[in-house]
Amino acid sequence: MLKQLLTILQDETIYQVEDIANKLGTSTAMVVAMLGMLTRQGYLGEVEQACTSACKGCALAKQCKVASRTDAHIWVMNAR
Amino acid sequence: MGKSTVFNMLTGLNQHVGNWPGKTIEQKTGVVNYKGYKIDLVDLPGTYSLTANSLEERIARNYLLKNRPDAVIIILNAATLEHSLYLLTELINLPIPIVVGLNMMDVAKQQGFQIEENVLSAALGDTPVIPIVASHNQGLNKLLDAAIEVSQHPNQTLSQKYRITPSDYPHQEIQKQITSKIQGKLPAIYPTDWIALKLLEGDSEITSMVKESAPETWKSIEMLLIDHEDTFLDIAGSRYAWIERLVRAAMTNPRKGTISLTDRLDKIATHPFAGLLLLIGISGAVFWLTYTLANPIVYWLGNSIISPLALWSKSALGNAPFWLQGLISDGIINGAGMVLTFLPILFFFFAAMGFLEDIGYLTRAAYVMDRFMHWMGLHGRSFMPLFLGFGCNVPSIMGTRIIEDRRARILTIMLSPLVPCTGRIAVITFLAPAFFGKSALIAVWGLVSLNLVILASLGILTNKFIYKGKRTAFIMEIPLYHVPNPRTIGLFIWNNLVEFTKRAGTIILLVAIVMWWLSNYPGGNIENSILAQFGHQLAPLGHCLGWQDWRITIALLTSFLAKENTISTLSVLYKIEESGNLAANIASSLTMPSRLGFLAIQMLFIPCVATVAAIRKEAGTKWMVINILLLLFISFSAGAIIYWGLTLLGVK
Ligand SMILES: Nc1nc2c(ncn2[C@@H]2O[C@H](COP(=O)(O)OP(=O)(O)OP(=O)(O)O)[C@@H](O)[C@H]2O)c(=O)[nH]1
Ligand SMILES: [Mg+2]
Repeated sequence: MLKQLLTILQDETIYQVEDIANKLGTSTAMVVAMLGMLTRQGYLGEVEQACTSACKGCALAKQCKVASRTDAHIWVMNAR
Repeated sequence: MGKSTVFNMLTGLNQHVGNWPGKTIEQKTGVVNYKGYKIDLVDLPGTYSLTANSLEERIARNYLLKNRPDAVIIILNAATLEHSLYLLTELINLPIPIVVGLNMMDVAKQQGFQIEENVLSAALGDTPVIPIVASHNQGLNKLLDAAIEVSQHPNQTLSQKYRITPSDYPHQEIQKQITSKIQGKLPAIYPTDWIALKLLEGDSEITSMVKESAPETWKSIEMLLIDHEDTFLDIAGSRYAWIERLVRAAMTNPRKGTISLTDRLDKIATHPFAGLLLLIGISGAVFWLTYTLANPIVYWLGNSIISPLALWSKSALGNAPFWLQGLISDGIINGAGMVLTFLPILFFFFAAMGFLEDIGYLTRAAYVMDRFMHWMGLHGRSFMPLFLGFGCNVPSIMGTRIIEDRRARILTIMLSPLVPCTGRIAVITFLAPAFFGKSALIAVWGLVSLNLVILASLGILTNKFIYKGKRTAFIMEIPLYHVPNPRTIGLFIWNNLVEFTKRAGTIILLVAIVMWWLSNYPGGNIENSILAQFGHQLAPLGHCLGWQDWRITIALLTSFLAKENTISTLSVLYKIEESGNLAANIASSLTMPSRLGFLAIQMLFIPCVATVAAIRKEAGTKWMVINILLLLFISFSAGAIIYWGLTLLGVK
């Protein structure tokens, strides 16, 4: 299942978890769990929400946090 | 999730907190006296697997293998079963009795999940599965009962457990070969088939341990492993396949209604083409709404509050010295005060943005735009930072820190100032009605689009000729739409308005005062002032762009300190005696082509000083200078092209 997932992710484009789940014939929760595993293994990187650790010590961090309060998870394929 | 909660509930005050030997991670141990048993409880750090990816995972598994506890209580999060079951697939084949605490049952229930613990238990070889709500101390006694029970009959539980193989992976033959090779050559605490499995999974700690303990056999094992690369993916993949079957059997599907509604909306909202149209439509609507609702209030504030207040203060201070009168009435009230009339514009703009964000639309917008950014060759990670720029460019530049690739990061920083921030949007929204009358809204749309088109073109050109960006696969999990929460939106608006008011009270006020002084000294007459002399020096530049009035050029320059200063400076320089409202007075000194050119330059000009400082901090002085020169070039070229183009076309 993980291999199939990685094969799907070979195209250098943007995916929705939903689409991947449909392709694999599984649930989005399963896909998210597997993406988490691939992240821990270093295949993927999880993109932080713009203003968490990056903005430590920035005077505007407070204002910024509100502006970037999206709860979407984002992963990118790491170069191997 | 909830291990420490369970631990604290059960041990109460009988706790000992220390560190794991040689590690900085906290080790908590405690004693539970229960039904005549004295139970030692250890709170292990949270892990997702037993592979040595992190310190926590190494600590947890070494503890299990070395100390061989009588029973392991594994706490699963019922609301994210798929996530937490992986650890169970690993534990189940270790020779340790286990009990499953199915935690967060309250959350699962609230989200509509139904989990049949009997099905789970049966699939796990009759391993006890106890539903609990740790934070409310529900089910914890049952959990203890079960743990005591399995620890009393370890052999029976283990043999039941061993009947099931969660991982039906295609390398079992090799695992057997490796197992026979290392048999008896390693410390006895490690089960040999488990070692073989971890070697196949590429576990770094186990690999080096085998290399050290059994150097002679390592060579032949290595040959086997090299022949079977990527076994990790097969093994982990088979575990997930097993998890999927398990979840399918034990969990009934939740939230049908909401999902299908989200599904239906997303058919359009995340469609590559329709989604883009929708995004354009919605952003257009945001400007329309902001413009239509805010502008009457802005004008009312300017004409009925600020101007009368300035006039009144002038007469009230009739006996005061000239400088005090002028400073208060022209500099402070009419200058900085005029900028405060932007508040309604910002209010409606942030209200709209906050609303879109809170219902979850902005994530969809990000998704649609990201597709588009891929065409531009821009890095997937660039979107969020650029998007922040609509609020303010500074956080947008700081936000590029999430981009690891330095060149992609620099490119994003260089493009950031082209995203029109609210400061600039407010200035053009303020001036547009007087400048363009009925076509004002179209002009505002056009100007914002111009910025984005230039941004996109610059990105495409850079990608084609200078920096060929590496594309990467990019995956987004888009959350469900939700009912907006007025409090969150209110807070979002409030924070932004406070931030703006602070700016108006500091840098904008300061610039207004300085402008007033420079335009009144020496001699108290603007035409002989220092500022006028300087302005006349700049006149040739203004003439190229169709501004016969030097005050326009000065106002543009002060926008470097804060974008809103364009208005405060113009307000100081076009004194209130000149009847009519400010925007109309400014409009009367410019022809139609030069008005459009002026606003285009205002939109594309060097960003404000705070942004420039952020660029210097994040990218270095060289890139800051390049950015300033680039934007000077772009803004003045665009202004000149618009002015001369329209003039030659005969637009008046
Ligand atoms: N709603 C709800 N919240 C819970 C439940 N159990 C624990 N929590 C909350 O979940 C949060 C995390 O709990 P912890 O006990 O610290 O989790 P942990 O497993 O020790 O976490 P790590 O040590 O970081 O791995 C706390 O805020 C708890 O109050 C539960 O059954 N229901
Ligand atoms: Mg804990």
